[in-house]
Amino acid sequence: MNGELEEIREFLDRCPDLAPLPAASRDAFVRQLTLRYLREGSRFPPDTEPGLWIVRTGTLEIRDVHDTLRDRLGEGDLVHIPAAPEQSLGPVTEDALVYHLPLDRVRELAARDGAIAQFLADDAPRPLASEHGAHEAPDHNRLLTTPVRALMTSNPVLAASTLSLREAARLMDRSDISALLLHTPDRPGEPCGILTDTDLRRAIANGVDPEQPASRSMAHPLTTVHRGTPAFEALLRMARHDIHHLPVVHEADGSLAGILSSTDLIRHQGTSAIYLVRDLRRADDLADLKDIMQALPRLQVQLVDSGADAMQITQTITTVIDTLTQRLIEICERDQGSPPCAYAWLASGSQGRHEQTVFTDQDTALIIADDAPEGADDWFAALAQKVTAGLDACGIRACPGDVDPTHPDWRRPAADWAREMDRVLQHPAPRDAMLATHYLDMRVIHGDAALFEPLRQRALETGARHEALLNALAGQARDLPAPLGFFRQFVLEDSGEHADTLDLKMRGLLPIVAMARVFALHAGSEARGTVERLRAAARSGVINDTTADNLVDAWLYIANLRARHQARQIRKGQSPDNALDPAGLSTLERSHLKTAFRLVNDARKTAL
Amino acid sequence: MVCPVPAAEWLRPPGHWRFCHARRRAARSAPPGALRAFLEAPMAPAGQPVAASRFLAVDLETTGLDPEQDRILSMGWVAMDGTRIDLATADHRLVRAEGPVPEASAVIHRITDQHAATGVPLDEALDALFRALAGRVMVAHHAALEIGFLEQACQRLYGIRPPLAIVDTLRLAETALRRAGQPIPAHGLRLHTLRARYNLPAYRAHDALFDAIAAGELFAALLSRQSPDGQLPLGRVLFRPAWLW
Repeated sequence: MNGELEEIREFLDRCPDLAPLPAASRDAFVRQLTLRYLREGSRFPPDTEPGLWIVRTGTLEIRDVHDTLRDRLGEGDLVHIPAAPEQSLGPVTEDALVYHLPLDRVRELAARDGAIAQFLADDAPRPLASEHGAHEAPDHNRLLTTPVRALMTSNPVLAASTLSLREAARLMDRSDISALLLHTPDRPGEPCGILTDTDLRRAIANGVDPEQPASRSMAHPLTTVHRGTPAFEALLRMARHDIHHLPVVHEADGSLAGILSSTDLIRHQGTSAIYLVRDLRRADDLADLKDIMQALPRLQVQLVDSGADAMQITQTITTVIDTLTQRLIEICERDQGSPPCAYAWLASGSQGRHEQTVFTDQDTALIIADDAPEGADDWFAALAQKVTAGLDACGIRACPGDVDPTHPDWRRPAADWAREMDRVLQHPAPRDAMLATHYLDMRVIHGDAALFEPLRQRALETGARHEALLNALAGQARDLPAPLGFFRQFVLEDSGEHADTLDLKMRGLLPIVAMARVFALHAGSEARGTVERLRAAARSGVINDTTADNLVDAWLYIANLRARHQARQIRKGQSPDNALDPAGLSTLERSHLKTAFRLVNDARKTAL
Repeated sequence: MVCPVPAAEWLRPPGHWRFCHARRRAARSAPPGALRAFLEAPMAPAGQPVAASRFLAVDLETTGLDPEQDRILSMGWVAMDGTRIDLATADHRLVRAEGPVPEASAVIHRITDQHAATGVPLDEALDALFRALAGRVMVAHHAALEIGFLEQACQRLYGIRPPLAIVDTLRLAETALRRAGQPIPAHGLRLHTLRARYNLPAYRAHDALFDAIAAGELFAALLSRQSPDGQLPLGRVLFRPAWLW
């Protein structure tokens, strides 16, 4: 009868973790499996069900009680959960089809088949439940514990060591790799040495004939690590042997599983933001900038993966976009000659507040010194045009509300700005509330800060004194759509592209941002960031500490959720947005999110 | 089309009564055996949550698309409790051919005349299928085909057309895609295209057992989106010709 389920048995044959099992035992397995489909965002194991789980497609994460990533399981990976864990072990990060051998069937099989009993007893592939139960000190350096499996590159390129040095170099160039694994002709699949960029360089320096076999120049014997080796240990091993690449092998049979490079480790450390900013600074033209900015979505994924919180993520992303803006302006200045007079490039909105994510748009303005010569505006109009178009080309969408300096309203001489800000902040017409929020969030990105800072100072002082402005801003904060409806149901978007989803920004974050702005203005604080504003307001007694704490927690929770939601979308090759499908949340997440929204609603009712 | 059936069990639509009535009538005229047992087994209430419902994912391989002209070559099925597919129940039957297998379909199913001659008679295969189907709701991709061929086969062998409650994954997927506002490309509703969309593995196409498993997995994937908690009433996923509901 087993012939019928051939396709599944063939898959099990390919599972490295099942390799120690004799073929006959694997056959016995197949008919006992149940199939489960786990949706992305759901928790694993479903219903905290113990047993043996094998991933057929998709990915899931195993996290410990401190929510530290312990393992990432993908196709062919197996996890044995010997007893029902108290809570779920982690999220499903990509829609997954999993094979499940329920606990009673595991026991039954083990009782019948000695090989299976043995397999479960000694290999005990990743006994997780115990790990979950144990309360260890939270470790802040995830590199200590993340298995190399989660960081390595799978399917490394493997070639015969009889290949000539030239052919090897060509293969490496074509595959865009810095290290090539080599095997002896009689043992394909089993690497015996490694050829790296460094080896090639050394060979050329020593005048080695490129037609010589690569085996003469390769490094051997190989230092390898197991898939489950903690990344930190791999790093130590690299340092000790002064090498940058480690082949990764399966624990069970020593077969090749992947390759780990020092870059993989660095990337995991989250230092890539530094590289991204450095590369932007060195870029020569828009094409370069565009290329470099392709890495921004990956940066957000890495930040999320490395456990950064929403504050750290948005600050990092904003720094990158600030740098991009600065570099774009510098390139324009280079191309169209030095500016006719002093000026400053301003950003409001999330960039002004240091709260950007990868899904963001431009809210920018220009302030020009009052001593501008005749015709100077042409230069600035051209700058505005190029920079906003450049930002747009780099993935920072042009502002849908026309808040950008190509529009004369957002490109003014300093005296004009002073008059405009006075008008709006002292006698705001109802429709001016939106303008006021922009003025209050503005920050100098490039140029002469002295042009703008005094204006903002004055605006804050006068604004705080004027009931009218406080009322207008409070009204705006109250009017933002409520996130929770009757019976504490999420209010979902009912039409358009994002129907049936929850707009985390519009319904979750902006109400908090708007409240924080009013409170901070009332408190006379100069702060721009939402968390900073709330703290400042609490310090000066505008709101009580509990309200501030609640709103900060709510902001962080929703912003974290959004960062993770976007990271998931990026990982799936979708473009990130703020539209979350609440159906994809776990019960716990949903209840947290409702709590966060309730705090927002309560604060709106009581504090405004 | 999702049938507009109210969630509560006590609010059974008139179509449900008609359907149960038709089943009872068919059971009375069915010969004793698996078919009658299947028809006599109580029908799950339309308000029952899908998570608590029992299904049987079924696929038929046929010589063509016309139930009047063409015939069944093989059947495969696997039981699902809620959205759990249990491979222990996976089974299939090759049906012994009464005439030569047309060449065109043989290429698709890799079932040759010789191969088909090793099968069992159609009534024996149907017997096994209805035994497995008792107390369960059938799940198939493009169910009209399965309904057509099974009704035709029963008509010929037993002189009745059994009313079948069935879930059509094609219709469910179509509704889900339309509701999500997603364009449906040509062939976008084929089983294997849809499976790729939900990150399900590619199986060898046109093997009755694996197509049944494939349809079952797709059903589980669709439900995971439409009803993550499994509380969706069964009636909402059933597909029947309009006259029944």
